[in-house]
Amino acid sequence: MLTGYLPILIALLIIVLPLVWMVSSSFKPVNEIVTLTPQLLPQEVTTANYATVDRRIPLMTVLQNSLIVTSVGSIIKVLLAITTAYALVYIRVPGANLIFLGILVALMVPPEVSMLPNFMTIEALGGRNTLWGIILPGLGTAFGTFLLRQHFKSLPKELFEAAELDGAGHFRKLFQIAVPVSLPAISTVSLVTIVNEWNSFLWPLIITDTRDRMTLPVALNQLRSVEDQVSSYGILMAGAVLVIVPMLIIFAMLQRYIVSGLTQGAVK
Amino acid sequence: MKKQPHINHTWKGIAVFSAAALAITACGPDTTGGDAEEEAADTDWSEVEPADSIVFATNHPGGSEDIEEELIERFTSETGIEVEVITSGANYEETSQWFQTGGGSNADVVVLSDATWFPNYLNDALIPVDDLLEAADIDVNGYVEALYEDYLYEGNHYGVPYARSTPLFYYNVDHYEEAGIDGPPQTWDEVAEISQTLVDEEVAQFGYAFPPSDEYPAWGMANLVWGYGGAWSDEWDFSTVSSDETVEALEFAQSGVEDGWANVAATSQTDDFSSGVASQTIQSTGALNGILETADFEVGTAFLPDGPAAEGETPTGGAGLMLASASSPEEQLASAMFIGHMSSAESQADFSEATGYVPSHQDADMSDVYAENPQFETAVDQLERARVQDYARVFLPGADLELATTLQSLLTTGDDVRTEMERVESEFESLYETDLADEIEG
Repeated sequence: MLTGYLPILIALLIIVLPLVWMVSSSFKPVNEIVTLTPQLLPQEVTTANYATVDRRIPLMTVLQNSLIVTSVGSIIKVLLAITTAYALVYIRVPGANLIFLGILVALMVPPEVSMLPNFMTIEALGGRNTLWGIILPGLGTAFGTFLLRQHFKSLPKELFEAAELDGAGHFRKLFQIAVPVSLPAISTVSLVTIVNEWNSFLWPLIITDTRDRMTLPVALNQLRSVEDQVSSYGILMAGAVLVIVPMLIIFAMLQRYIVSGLTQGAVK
Repeated sequence: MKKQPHINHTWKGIAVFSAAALAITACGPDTTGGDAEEEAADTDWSEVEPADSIVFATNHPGGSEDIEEELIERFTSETGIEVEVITSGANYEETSQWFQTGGGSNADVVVLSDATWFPNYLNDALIPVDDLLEAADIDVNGYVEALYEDYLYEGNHYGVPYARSTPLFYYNVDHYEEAGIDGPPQTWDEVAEISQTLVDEEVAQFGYAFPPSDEYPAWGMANLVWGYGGAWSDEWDFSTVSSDETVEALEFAQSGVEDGWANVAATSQTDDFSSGVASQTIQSTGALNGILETADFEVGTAFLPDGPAAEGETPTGGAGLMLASASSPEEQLASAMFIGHMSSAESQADFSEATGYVPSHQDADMSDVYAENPQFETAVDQLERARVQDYARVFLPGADLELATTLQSLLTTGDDVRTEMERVESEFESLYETDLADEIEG
């Protein structure tokens, strides 16, 4: 009994404690954060940190930007991943393997490498300080395509042969057969995509410099200031809480699917 | 502060490419300084009408975002000129990088530090302020002379002093009392002595905190090196960086860490000092307000310590406001009015009170502030001991970073100081050859 729960408890503490510390610190005045006698709970609860974040950053605007970028970006990405994966597996395209190889190569190249060409392209198209400028370069998703292709390959051929006999075209085969039976895998891809989009930092940082076009993580980064770090810890913690909370909610909602998605194919 | 939808940039592909390439290589191959001066000299400012709106790029040094906003609001209500504020990074390097990535056309006014304005001048991105300030009716005689002259190069000024600071010696008064120490040290030997006492008496874990590499250690530690008769450079002669005196000074610092009376702060010496981990440190005056807000103990400030060879000489530092050469004459005139406003006696008094930076205007009335927080006054009195920084740190692109990383590794690893500083010297020589030689000598 204990041997089973102990590792879970330890793992839980390792994951949860920093988060608890962050939330607690966000309600502390700065002299309770930078101290030699730290307490887990704030002694003098204050919401001043949140007020400062709210005063300096147009929170609602950047939150809205983040929501738009994340939702639009993720939907297109997942849709592209599903259709590309389907085409790679079920449609006879000349050189399909070569295309797949290209996708794998894209997976191996770190995204930072394409930062400069992307910047120049988007800049030339007039996409600086626009939401579409943030979304566009990230739309091709090698990871999702790869994962779904492998998954589609494992689906029984008979399913699709039966559908074909019934006169289904590619569109119906994709959306009425492949997608419904692959929901766990698609959820996993969606979740990873959503989290990546939400947390995406470097690219939005480079392509935006006005606060009303920034996403949440980039805007919160602006709370840092040279020669004043010591008094900004509480403010940074409050900002971090604001970024993480929406993600926790999404995780809680998709949790059921993630687990089944990750264990997919483990048992035949 | 009015936010506008967004700035409409239309850059040509080539310009973007060269700017981006510049940012990537982090050096300025195009050192054809001079165009901006001619351009400025050609303009008849009396015929120029100031623009309705300008763009101000700042990293809010010293946590000054709120006070900046207040000062800007005053400017807009007085002149009707809108100022769009862009937070261009968290520190001076990020701001400079941001400005260069945009080819110098993404802002009209930009905050640049002692170590970042010169590379931007070399890239021809800054315009001299002299004629413009005159046209905007700003009296430059009001500035603290030493601070304004920092921006003088070849007969022109390239900025006005804004968030100006000196390093300041901070000590924990409560710790001093507990260990029975009368007052702050006069010399570096006394720093070592007091620190050792504080550690021996178990009052604090460390007596003194040295800055880590991202807290500009070469700036504050210039005082120590000067105190021993060394320097980071003597004008363009870099041999002093590995001279006996410089090596001796750095070996003193290194022995402090080895003997246990000093540490190198993990994040910032401000954190170690404010939390009570270390009883003394040297940090910018710009951190004063943050420290006062954070510390649970009484904070004392003192002049920088003397060395065996020199009285505690104080490097000036911090940032000024510069004007972009790429802006239109109308925007430049409006910008000149703006930097005049931000560096006026009244603005500087409020700015200094909110941050701890030294007021850069002689007429700034600080009497109320000093009555309440006498710590602020030390910084201003200390200006008498100001010494212009060594060329290597402020004018040689990349040298400050090289010094910062070397200092951190020397203090934490105990490497041989002379070997390392000789390496730094040859590094300086090659930086000079690649980035500056043509410009300076040509």
